[in-house]
Amino acid sequence: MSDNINLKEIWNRQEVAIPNIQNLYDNVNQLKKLNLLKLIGITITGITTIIFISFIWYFYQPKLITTKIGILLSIISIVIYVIAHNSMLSFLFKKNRAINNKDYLQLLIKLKEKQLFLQTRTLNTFFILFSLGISLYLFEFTLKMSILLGAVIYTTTLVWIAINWFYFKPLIIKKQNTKIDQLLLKFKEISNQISN
Amino acid sequence: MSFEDIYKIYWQKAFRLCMGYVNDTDLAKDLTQETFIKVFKQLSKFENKSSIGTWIFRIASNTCLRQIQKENRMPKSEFPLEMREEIIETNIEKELQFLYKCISDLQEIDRIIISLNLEGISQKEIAKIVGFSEGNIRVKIYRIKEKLIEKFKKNER
Repeated sequence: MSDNINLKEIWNRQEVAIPNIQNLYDNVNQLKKLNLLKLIGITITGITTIIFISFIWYFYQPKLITTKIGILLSIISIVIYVIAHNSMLSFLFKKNRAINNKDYLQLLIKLKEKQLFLQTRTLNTFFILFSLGISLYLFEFTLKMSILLGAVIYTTTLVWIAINWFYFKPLIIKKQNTKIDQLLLKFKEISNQISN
Repeated sequence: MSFEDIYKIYWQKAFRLCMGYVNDTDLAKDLTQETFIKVFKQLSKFENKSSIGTWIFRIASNTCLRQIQKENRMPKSEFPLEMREEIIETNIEKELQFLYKCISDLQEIDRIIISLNLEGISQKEIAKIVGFSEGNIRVKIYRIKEKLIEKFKKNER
């Protein structure tokens, strides 16, 4: 048993000056501000885009139903994105941290799996609705143009959508998911240490 | 108990637990700070179902478990360890350093278990913090200590 006492004695030699509690209070306030800024940032970007699209509706008074549907779809896609993003933030931060390690790891694994699913689905929904919205929205304006110009504008838009869909979207999803996949793997590995 | 009292009583203990987990003074300080931010925010929700110590150690160990999300920020052990070797010359500190090094070589859950044990937490409480049965904890502690002592003996030779 003298060996055990020895380890404890060595362990207890570690003493570090306790940081001033004021630092902690400052940190809490900083974190609050940072989270709020993040929330405001994405919400404001979304709202600004919606206001911009609504202005177009107001000023140009579209006649065709396709234009209106297009505008509505674009707005809905942005709203979905903002809501999903914001609820994901609170969903990630508001979890019970005082449960035991075993349950906590299970919770982390579930959270990460949910995050993986939500991110991919939200981004897909956003891209589909937004692309569809823009395509429908353009229809009325291209009708007023010559066939050639209309074809050029539609082709450019469709190519741009295709680049987003086949290049940027997979890239964003891959980037988001690789990190989560690695974390999931590690959390599962640690969790196995408890179930064994 | 006020938050200030809790901070004074448990900061050092929580720091040692984090240090046992990451073997990196700066990172351990960050994790301890993060732990107490959580304690501060959730203190009003604390129900007296468990002791305040068990509650804090659960938060601290969960914070450690989650820290791999930030691990890319700093490579573990090597750099700070070398730096400390330059500053700390005495044998006492080297023993402590070696203990941390040995603990950091263990599996994650084992690091938490042994750190809590060395901190003087009862096996019953450790079982509640980790989520193992008490019997399991007893066996684990025995095996981990055996490993550590073995390493210490080898190191002395």
